Amino acid sequence: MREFWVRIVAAIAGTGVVLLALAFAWLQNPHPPAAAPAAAPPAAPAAALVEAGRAFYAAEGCAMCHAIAGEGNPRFPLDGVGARRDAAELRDWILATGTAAEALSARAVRMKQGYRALGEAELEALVAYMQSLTTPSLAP
Amino acid sequence: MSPLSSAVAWVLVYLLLVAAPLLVLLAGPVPPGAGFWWDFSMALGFAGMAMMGVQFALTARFRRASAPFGIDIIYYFHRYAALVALGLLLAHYLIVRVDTPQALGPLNPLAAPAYMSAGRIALALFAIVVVTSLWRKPLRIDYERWRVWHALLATAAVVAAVAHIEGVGYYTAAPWKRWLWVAYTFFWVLLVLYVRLAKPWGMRRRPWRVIEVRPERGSAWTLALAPEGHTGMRFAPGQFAWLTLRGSPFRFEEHPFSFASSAAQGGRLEFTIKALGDFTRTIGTVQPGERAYLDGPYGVFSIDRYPRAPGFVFVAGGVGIAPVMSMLRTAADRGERRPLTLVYANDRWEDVIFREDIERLRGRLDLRVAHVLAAPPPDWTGERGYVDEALLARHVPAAPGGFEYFLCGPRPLTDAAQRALRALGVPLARVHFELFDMA
Repeated sequence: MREFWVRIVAAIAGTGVVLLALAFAWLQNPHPPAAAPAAAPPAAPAAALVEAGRAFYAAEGCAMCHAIAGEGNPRFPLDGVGARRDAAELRDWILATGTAAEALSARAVRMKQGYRALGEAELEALVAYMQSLTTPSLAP
Repeated sequence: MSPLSSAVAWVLVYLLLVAAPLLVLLAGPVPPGAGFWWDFSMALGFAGMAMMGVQFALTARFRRASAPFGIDIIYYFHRYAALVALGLLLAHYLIVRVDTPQALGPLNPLAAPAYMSAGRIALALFAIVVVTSLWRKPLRIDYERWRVWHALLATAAVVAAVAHIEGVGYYTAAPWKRWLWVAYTFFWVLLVLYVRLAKPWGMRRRPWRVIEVRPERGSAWTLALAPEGHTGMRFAPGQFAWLTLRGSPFRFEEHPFSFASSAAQGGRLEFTIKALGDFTRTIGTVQPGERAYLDGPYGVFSIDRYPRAPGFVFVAGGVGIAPVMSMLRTAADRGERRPLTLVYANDRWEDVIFREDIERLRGRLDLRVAHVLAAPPPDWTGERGYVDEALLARHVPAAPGGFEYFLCGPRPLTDAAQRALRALGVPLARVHFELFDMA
């Protein structure tokens, strides 16, 4: 008899938290998703530089914190970032300098400070790659 | 509060503790949505951790919280809850693995950020803790060793998981949420300190002394203890305590045993222990004068839970007679008038523990006794074989309306008795047994 109630309580606890988790995910992701900001015409960066930046992005494991076209950590998507920010701003966001330093969390600033050791060539390639990302994200 | 309402209240407390981190998550502020599956996976991670955290509280043996259920059922629940929690944590990992594998980064701990490795370590440790607990016997892990490692690995797993949550940091960025998680972790640490230090300290301040070690039939021993410098322990007949012999209560080499003596007599206590395992085989070598420590009383296996029952039926096998003996002795001391029936199964007549004591109790109680022997002597006229429906039908009162049934003995016996009583029309709620299997 008591074992029966144990299974009931365990099942209630398990289903309860799964339902709460579902509710959280559902509330966090309303449908239809908010319209993405309109893309501004970007200055097209050099193709070779963009390729170098893409390779660098992959090698550095940037996808652990960022997503591009649905690949990687969806918490901080980069789709359309090239349309929203210019090269100087992108540089600030990568290095956590300037106004970006105030907008980022303390933890993100700490992580990004490590990128200040990057060479100028890598940084330029990365900025070029970001500038090439002008398509806003599709609905998840 | 009645046992039922206090049971419901404690279940609600449990559900609230488990849901708390998710409710906090829902209460915001949270970072914007990152896709349904991602957010679902993160929420499952928090839910799994909340359940794993409360696991520490479940085994802290809080007497007030366990009283309405019985501590055996709390341990039973602890096992189920661990499986559910591990399932949630696995789902947390697998959803990310399938949906956004790039976000996991490299597996190699040298290349991966420490907080991601911490998450992987936590998951692996939790899995090891669950597997070594559910399959401890097939894996041939010694009980004492398992107890120590279980606590150590579980604590390490929680610490690694909290490091993972803190390292990821998205949801715990708001200062008040961060403090909430710090407080939550602190609560678990406090619990470990309570169980490992405060509780043993309390036991050390209330020592007991062995005053008699007496051999019983069936290679069992009765161990009598007297309180030293305190008033002893008030218990309900049928309850049990964790006994520590030849060691400090801080070493956690303790074993649960039922009281066999009358609860109506203060001070002196008796345990009857059969030499079955590594520890119980040494009982015969214990000398009067030795120190002992007790943690108890625990358990709901007692006639005292049913003051209005018109009568009681006991089905015992072997040393399972110990808690029944405590109930019978207590009943005799209290001048109990209600009808009692004992069906007592053993292999051989010479090994029937308390054979003579039970005979004497028949003079003081309205007690019917049916001995059942699997290997009876040639001249045996009583019941032979094993307990089954036909046998119980012969001895259990014909109109058992409202009687309460207590089963204690080896698992095959209690299982058979349960089935038989059910077939005889006894409601499940009237059949009581402990769910311990610690041999």
